[in-house]
Amino acid sequence: MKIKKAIICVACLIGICSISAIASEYSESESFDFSGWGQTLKNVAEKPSKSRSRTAADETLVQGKEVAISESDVDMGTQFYQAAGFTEEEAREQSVEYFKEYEAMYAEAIAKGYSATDEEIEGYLEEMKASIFSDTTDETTQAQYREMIGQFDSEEDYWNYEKEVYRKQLPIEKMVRDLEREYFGQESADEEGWDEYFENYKADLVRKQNYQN
Amino acid sequence: MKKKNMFVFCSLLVLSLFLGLIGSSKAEAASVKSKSTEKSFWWTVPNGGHSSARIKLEYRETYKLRRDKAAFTQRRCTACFRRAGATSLPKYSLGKVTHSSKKKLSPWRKGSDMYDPNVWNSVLSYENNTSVQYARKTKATGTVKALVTCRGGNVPTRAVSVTQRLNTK
Repeated sequence: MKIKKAIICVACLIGICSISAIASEYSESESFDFSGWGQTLKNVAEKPSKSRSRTAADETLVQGKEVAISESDVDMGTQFYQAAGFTEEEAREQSVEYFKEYEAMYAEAIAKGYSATDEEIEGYLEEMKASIFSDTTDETTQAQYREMIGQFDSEEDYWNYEKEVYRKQLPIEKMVRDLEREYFGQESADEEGWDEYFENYKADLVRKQNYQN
Repeated sequence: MKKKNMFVFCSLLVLSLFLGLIGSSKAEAASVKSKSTEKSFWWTVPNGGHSSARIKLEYRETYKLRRDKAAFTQRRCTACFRRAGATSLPKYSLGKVTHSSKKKLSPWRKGSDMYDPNVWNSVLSYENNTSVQYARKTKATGTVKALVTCRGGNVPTRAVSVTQRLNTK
């Protein structure tokens, strides 16, 4: 009888801990400070040098074979992850890992000849704006984006900032789109396989950069 | 007179049998209930840009009418997916159809799909042939759900679903 009661108590304790863990993970991932992130982007946009194609040697945090990760990018990424609920230390680690991948992907996209003209970037952003604020996007997301964009002095300022972001992001997206099309052209291709393939692809590019702190 | 009556009786019998066959074959003809939804999802990512996904979720039930009931003999759910991003790419998972009556629908097999790769990156379908019967005015519903996630984006997981009533009257 006593053993039975003990087993029931332990089972309840495990159940409560599991529910709390799931709830806390869910609540952490579902809360994001959009206005804080918008303010971060505004601060970045207002910095004198908006170009990320070259990094000043004195602010390089991590050096790769062909690319460098700047302190300012890592700071921005840290603020992103903090807005998502990570601690400062975890956020910084995540940010460094994110930019190692991002810069490695950019170097590969450029090496493969991918680029983006001003017209392409503007057209892409116009489509993005139309899609974000269309009927197919839920009201919550639209409100979140308005909150983020609202931190800028004007909506135009936000989209001008995004033009700078997409000078780098659009060539990468083009490369990824072609990679995906090639992958799914195979008979055995499936969603799980693509996920694994893409993660391995990025990991190989990061290894190729041989980043040094 | 007897011969005439016999002839009339046989004709009527043949006619009623014939009409009965037509009637029952009409009731056996398959019909379809379908519903779909299309959603876009957006995530901000650490470099200041975005990742996005568009998903079209379709749910289809095939049924045959049998007097005051409908026999649902086949169902199919399909997700068409398009994504865009740099390093944080959205992905999706498609659930199987469930009925509010909790009737077991099993087994499921992957369907084969044709799709335009200029519009969608990938398509996934599941099919099931479990036969379930409902009254024509049933309040039972069928639902299919999909999850779209973007690791590395804010608010990583989003859900989309389609529900349709299974009444046939």
